Amino acid sequence: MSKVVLLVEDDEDNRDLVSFVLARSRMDVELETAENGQEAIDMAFNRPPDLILMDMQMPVMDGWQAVPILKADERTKGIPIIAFTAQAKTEDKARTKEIGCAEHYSKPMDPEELLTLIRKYLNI
Amino acid sequence: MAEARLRQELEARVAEEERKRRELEDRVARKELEARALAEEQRRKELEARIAAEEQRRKELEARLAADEQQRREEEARKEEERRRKELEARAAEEERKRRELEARAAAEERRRKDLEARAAVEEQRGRELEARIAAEEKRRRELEARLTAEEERRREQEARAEQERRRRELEERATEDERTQRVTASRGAEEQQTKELAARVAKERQKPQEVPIPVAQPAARQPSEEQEKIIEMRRQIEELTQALEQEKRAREEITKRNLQKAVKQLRVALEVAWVNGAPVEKAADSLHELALSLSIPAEVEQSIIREVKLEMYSRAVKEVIAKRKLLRSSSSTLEWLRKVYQVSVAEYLENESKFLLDLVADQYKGTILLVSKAIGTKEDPTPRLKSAGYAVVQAVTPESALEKIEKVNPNLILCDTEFPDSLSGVRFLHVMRANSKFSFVPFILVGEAAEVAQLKSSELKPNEGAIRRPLDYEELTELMNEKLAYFREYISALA
Repeated sequence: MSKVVLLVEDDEDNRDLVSFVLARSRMDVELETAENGQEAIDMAFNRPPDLILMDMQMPVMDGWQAVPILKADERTKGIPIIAFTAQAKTEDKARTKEIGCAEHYSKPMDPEELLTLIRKYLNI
Repeated sequence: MAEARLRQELEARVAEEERKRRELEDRVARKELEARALAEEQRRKELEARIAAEEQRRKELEARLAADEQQRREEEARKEEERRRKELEARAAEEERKRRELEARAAAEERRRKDLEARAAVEEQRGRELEARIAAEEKRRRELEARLTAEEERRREQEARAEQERRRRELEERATEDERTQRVTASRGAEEQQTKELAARVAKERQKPQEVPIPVAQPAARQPSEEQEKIIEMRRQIEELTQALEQEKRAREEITKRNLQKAVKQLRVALEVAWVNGAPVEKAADSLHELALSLSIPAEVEQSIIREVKLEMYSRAVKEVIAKRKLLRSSSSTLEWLRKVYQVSVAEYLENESKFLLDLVADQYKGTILLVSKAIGTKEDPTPRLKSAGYAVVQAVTPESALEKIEKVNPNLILCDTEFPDSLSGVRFLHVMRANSKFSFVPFILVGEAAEVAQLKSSELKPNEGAIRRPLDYEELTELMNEKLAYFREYISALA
């Protein structure tokens, strides 16, 4: 059965890029997308994915708000979350760990690096 | 006593004499010493003078050496400058050449594509014509067959008629015989009636054959030549038929070729689907190979289609990802990743690099700027900023040297200071450019003091010309350059 990755990202170009990269990964992965934290929570509660890729800066509800909610719920607390931030600020990096993110990835992306990270958390 | 005194006196005189002699000797010795000291002093002074002279000469030599060294260094610096200038010029020319080459290649590619399309259309048209001809040929063949059948039918009918005639004659002969016999036996009544009936039947029989086109009266005389004619005609028709069949065979071959094209198209479509996201997994690749086998596509054709599709899909992916390069950490590592995903070998990549990167280059290479500035080499030198914005920059420190270079550089834009010490002014240079038919429409931006710029803007600038004040605001400069370049492009495309 294919693994499900939930990408939470408000920027369409970024969503397209992750989708582009994943499609070419030869991984048996189904990509779901949400445009903000609220949407992500709804989707994750409804159908818990195997991995969440979460942009931290978003409108409506950002990652800083959404991750603690996901981590507090029985259905989603075990799902690894990789936090995407635009700037590589060390305090941001530390903060993502504090709120329960498994990993921190600072944009801009590198396809091979991103795939390695995703493989690591999907165990494939 | 007296003797003793005399002796004493004598001794005293001797002693006195002795003392005087010593004194004299002393004086002589002292004088000698003094003279020697004087000579010594003289020699010392001479030596000192020589040393001083020597020193002077040494200093002079040193000064000359230093001057030589200075000259040599200046010469070297000049040479270095010259070398760098030449290198830059060469590089600019090379870049220009590359750009032109890329453009030419793109144009050739386009031409080839159109050519291929045109050829494909002609091929298609020919295929249709052939099919139509084959259909016509087939129709003619059928008609001929039908005619042959009809001919055969007629021949049989004739034979049947000949047979009837033969029987009629037999009957007549028999009738004559009968008549004779009847005359002899004198049993006429009923016999005559019979004969009349027979005669009537014969007459009837006679009438009937006359209706057919071949007269019965001279069947033996005319039939052979008609038969011959028919045979000749049939031979001719058979020849025609053979020719038609040969044509048909050729057309069939043509169709087989076209069928192969159709099969190739079908395989291509399947391959494109499979290769969209990179090299297909082994299972998918196997089933594609089976498809190729089932379509009876030769192995070498299959391989070349796979290669074509692979490169096409890779090229598309490159374009897609390059459009998003702002989101990527490194374009080159992403391209490298894609190369692996699509299993494009380095050799294949290099072979097609220009095609893959054409868009990328077209997007990134904005043109060549001829920068004419006093600031070159100083902190205010705009070269690095222009380069990082995607322009190739050729430098000139004065309008004169810019004039020397411009033909070779063929710039897309000229960025020039307004004032130069001991040289043409920037404004004068602008006027020279306006008078040059080749460069009068090249964007020309003057860089000057605020007051000058205000004056220039209010007075004499043409649509391809602009002015900006120092210190340069790069955002403003970019905007101005883009505006002028856009104008230039519009002008060029209007010309085309």
